[in-house]
Amino acid sequence: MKVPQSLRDLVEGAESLVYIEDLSGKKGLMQTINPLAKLVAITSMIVISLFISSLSYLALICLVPLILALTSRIPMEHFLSRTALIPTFAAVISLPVLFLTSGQPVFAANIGALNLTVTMEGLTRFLVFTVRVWFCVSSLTLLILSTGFDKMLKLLSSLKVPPVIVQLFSLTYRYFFVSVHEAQSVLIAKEARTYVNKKTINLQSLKDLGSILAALFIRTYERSERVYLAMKARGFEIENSNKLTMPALRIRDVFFASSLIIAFSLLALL
Amino acid sequence: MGLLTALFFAAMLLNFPLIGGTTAHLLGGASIGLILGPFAGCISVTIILVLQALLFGDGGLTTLGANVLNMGIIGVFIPCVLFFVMNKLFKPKANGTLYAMIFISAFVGDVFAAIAAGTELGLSAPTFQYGLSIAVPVMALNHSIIGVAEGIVTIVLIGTLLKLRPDVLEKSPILSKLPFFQNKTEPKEE
Amino acid sequence: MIEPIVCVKDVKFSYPAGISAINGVSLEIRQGERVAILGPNGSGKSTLILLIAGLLSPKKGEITVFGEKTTSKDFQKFRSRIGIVFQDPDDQLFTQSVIEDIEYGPKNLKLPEEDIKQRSAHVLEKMGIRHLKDRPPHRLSFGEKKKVSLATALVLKPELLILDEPTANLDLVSRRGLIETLNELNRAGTTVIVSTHDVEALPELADRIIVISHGLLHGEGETRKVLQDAKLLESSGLEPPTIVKLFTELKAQGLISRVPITAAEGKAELVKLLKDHKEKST
Repeated sequence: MKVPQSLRDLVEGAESLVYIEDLSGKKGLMQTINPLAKLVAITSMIVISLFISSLSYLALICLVPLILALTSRIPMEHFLSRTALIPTFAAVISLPVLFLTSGQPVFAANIGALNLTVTMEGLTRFLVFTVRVWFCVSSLTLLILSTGFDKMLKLLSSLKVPPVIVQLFSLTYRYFFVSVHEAQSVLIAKEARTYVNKKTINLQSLKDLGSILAALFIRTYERSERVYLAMKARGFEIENSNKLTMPALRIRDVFFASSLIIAFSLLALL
Repeated sequence: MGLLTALFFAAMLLNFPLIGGTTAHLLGGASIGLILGPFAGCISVTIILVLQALLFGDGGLTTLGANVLNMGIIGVFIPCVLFFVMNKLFKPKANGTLYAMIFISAFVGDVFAAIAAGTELGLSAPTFQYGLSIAVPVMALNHSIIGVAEGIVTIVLIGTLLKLRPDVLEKSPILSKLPFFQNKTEPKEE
Repeated sequence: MIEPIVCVKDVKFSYPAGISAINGVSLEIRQGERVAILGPNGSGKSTLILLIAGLLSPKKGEITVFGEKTTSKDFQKFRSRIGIVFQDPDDQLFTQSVIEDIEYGPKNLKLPEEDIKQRSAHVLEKMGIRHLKDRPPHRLSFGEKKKVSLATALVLKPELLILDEPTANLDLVSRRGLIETLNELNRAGTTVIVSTHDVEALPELADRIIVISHGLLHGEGETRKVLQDAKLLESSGLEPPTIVKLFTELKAQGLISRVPITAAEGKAELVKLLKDHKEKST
């Protein structure tokens, strides 16, 4: 029996979330740093990297997320494959730069009437762009992989995001798993009673999708009513939503953030 | 109280466009906007986009701002406004008119969101010569097919809700303006 | 005469979609009682429980708990004295970790930090779930979720504990543990109300049974009487426990005089019967 594509995506999504939870629960360097310090350090790193234009320095700073990932016990294979997609996309988009920048030619090819010349300047621009994109993506990924969702919520709360919004995020994340489970059973039940294998999208399949969505919608709606009652039963009132408290900053957190920021600033000034 | 409760419902409902919407490459903005109203709908879609960007690792973080604009604001508000205006103009009595209105709202919402995305793509890459003239029509054409699908799905979804839980739709700031909700005498509660 | 702590007077309730769930029910529950609300699926027992907890408001009639109307504005204050455990633990556990969920109620009550820590440590210990403390709810098994759900209610030290289908879907060992916990709480003075259709668990769960069907009160009485009343149970869409059915047939054949309701009683009855038989034949 074939499981529908959209469902597979969802289940994979849920699995990847569980995987992140495992990673963020490991005892590595980044996991022990206060989320606020991590956020400040990584944001500054990304901003400062925009001022570094030398290719060799950019390559050098790319070592930072790699080393941090290693010391945080994040499997390299997973880290690299997770950060590869966007830089590849960026590289493809910026391919024309190779040929359109004027300067010293390093390579030329004639395909039919097309005369393609790669210039040194074009190559540098192309590489700087791609490497910088990788640096940004990998730094952010590092932050996400090493910080569990509960800590991210606390981070949001400490950044003065209204408690209602934080609560919404929390509920969404919590009930994502429940919903995947429900969607899975509904779709498998439908599949079990579908005997004709249609490949094309037709009116009937769209109608089916609509009614499945309606069924799921009603289920979630009814669950939301019950959850609301469960919250009310334990004293929930909209006006006094609990604020999440974050662990305090320690010296090592401050040291971690400031040393990275200083190192990057020096590199940018050089 | 009412607003916040609605927001809570919104939080739960977030799961549903996650399931049906973005993963199946439908946008879901029209349905969520019509059911929750434009403001709560916009917050909902934004939260979904943030979560997706953070957790699914598909790089949405870099384009988060644009996505929120396209899907959260344009994709939610346009269907709501259209529906609101059409409701004033036609005052639908029959289900056929209502369904047509839902279809048009969802379809136009999708196409507009796509045009916005195309415009941003075109503007962001001027040096690469995929100008506005290419990006906009490609996105609009592509998404008008998706728009038809979205329109049909939205009709079935709202139609089913209307049959099974009309009380849910009665709370919606947009749909509650429909004539047959307005004419009904308010049931005494509390 | 002990004062009733729950008093339901001619209550009617219907859901917004137009389904009527409770069509006029009156009952009383006294302090320290173990009461079961028994009824088949869709009989309205969950609704009745939510009404008693003051989470839904009756359309007609009135409910008083601890002498206060559930519809009154001040009822919020009484809510911390009532613990409710929902049937689906996924409804009850809505935060990111077990400990957060347990501390949710006490934090809303604005209890002092020290007290919260002490209470949650105690309840984690009591329920044997200390090792689950930092786990997110979606990574717990169903049985674990059920235990945590009960813990989130017990941490408030409620005087009245209400449970919706507490034994549903639990394996037998977990069920035994749950029943023991509830009985221990009851001996310590907590009033316990459970809704259930699990007739097999009833002899150990309740002293008194209230039978509900189609939103109406069908009967009420001491556990033993209700479970032996096949007519009442069948007319409400239920069946007596297996042991009762078996011994009712034996009684009909004139082999025994008394119908037991638990396995232990049944065993004693059988042993007596077999011994008598042996004596007669020798």
